[in-house]
Amino acid sequence: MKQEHRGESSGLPEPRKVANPHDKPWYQVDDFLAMGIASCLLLFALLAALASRPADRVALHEKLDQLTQSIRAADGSEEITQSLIAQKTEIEKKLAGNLLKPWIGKPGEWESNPSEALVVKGKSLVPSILFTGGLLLACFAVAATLQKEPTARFAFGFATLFALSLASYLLAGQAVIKHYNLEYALWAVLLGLLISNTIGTPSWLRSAARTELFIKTGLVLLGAEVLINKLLALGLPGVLISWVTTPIVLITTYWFGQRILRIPSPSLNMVISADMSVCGVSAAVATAAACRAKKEELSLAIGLSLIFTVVSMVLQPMVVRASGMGPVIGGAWIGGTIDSTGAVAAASELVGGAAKDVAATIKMIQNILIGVISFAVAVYWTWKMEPRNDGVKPSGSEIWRRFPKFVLGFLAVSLLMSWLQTQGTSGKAMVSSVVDGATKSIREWCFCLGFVSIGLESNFREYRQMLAAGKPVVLYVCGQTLNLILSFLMAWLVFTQWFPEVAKSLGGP
Amino acid sequence: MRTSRWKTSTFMGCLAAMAIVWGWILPRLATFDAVRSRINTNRKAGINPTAVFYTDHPTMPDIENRIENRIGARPSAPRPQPSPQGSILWRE
Repeated sequence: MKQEHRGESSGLPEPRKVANPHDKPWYQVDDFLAMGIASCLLLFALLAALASRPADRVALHEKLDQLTQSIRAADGSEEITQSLIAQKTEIEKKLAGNLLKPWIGKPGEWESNPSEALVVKGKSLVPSILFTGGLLLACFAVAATLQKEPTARFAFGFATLFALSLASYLLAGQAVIKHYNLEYALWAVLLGLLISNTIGTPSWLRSAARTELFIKTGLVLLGAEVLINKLLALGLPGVLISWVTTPIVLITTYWFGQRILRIPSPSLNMVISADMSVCGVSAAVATAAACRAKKEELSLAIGLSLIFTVVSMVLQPMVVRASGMGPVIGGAWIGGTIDSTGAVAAASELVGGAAKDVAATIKMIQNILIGVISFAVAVYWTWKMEPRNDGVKPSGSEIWRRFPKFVLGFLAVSLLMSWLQTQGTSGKAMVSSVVDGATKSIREWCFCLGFVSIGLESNFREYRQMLAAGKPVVLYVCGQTLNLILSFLMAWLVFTQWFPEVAKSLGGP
Repeated sequence: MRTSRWKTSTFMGCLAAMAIVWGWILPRLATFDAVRSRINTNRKAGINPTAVFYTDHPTMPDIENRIENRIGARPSAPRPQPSPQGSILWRE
């Protein structure tokens, strides 16, 4: 993400200067540092997963295979099937233990006293939070040293940044805030903005606010959760609803923003279109990094997404119930249109029946799309949107030079973990161990650090300029309206006309 | 130009407002029936409403297993093959 200033409302995008990463050695470039840090953390998590294998793993795997066969064979009672599935999930959890899990933590939920968030099941989370902070400090301090930043100064700034991230988690962990889906990203940006727009961000804190490095490291780690084989979790119906409708909405919304609304910044248009059509915060972060959007553009898109998500998660279950849409079509509609996974789960729970399973699965398939979307956006931006040198079409090497390399790290990690996931129950357990045991929480901390950094480097004036004439809001509303219509049409066609037997087996339509 | 005193006062004012909202207003809001009902429904169902990605959703493994079973139980669905054994990394 870049910070250069652009004009306000000429109606056409102004040319941008492309930062030349070759101006400095590769080991000082954020993309390579992010890939290096994420690789080390993944390797660490992988080794911890190997060391955490339970002693009775052979017996557990055999039991798991038996349970899988029993579930397939159980054609009768739903109660027995559910009990077998619960046993299977329990064994999978045992196999997916990780030594690092008790040491990687973040605050939980609280209602009236914030200290409740630092204790889970009678156990203090403070040591795990401090260990996580120490681990991240060690990783990012190496990067800062390579980038010629005085280590002690960076460490002091990073500790403050980490404390601000912790405060963001605590603000987001309050029960009312949490259950209405106002995520940590919002509070992290607002906390940073509060400091930068009142007392000002001190230079020692600004030097630790490495937004790009934190976000890109988080994204490469996120690659471990983008498992391609989950694409077929719901068979062809899932692919049609998530992978056909979503790109159509994304492209149409982007086109609408460029040609009809004439939004001055194409990158703002792209980030809002992606976060609205794909999966909220994670898609916004991935596309913003891929198209080098400004920091303020990312935070504005996330703010819009969170506000509309709160509205959607209250209204959409009402619409499903009032219209008699049915749990399968209603669940698919909610899963395809509400931005974040948590909000999808909460909204579909209010519909009941099969809706929660269908909605969460549709959202999961849509989540996988961010790998393809971020790669496509990175290629499109490098090829088409960035300025040409002296009017000459950029050469292949020039395109490679401009390409955001961290996207390749993200895809490589995704492909590696997807392959591992296909290696039977053992591979699946390994992936769960790495992700649930370590990288998922570290990824969230990286994003939270990135969002606080965005706030610390931003100015309210920028937001006023971007929100001029309300174009981003109009874009979001129009895009989401199209999304609601197309997703419903596709869900209806898929589950009543093309694959009614799938809807029946899921408990619908 | 705004003075540094004004900026510091604004900062302290915002912190005080946050302390009131998070320390007093929100805990009382959590006792309202409609809000309480939503919180309890989510807790009972094991839902983390702030889950950003599917892996953040605590009950996702259960959901995946249930969906796999329902989709696999269709008469036209392909029968499952035994999972590969002896993975290079995990099993002996």
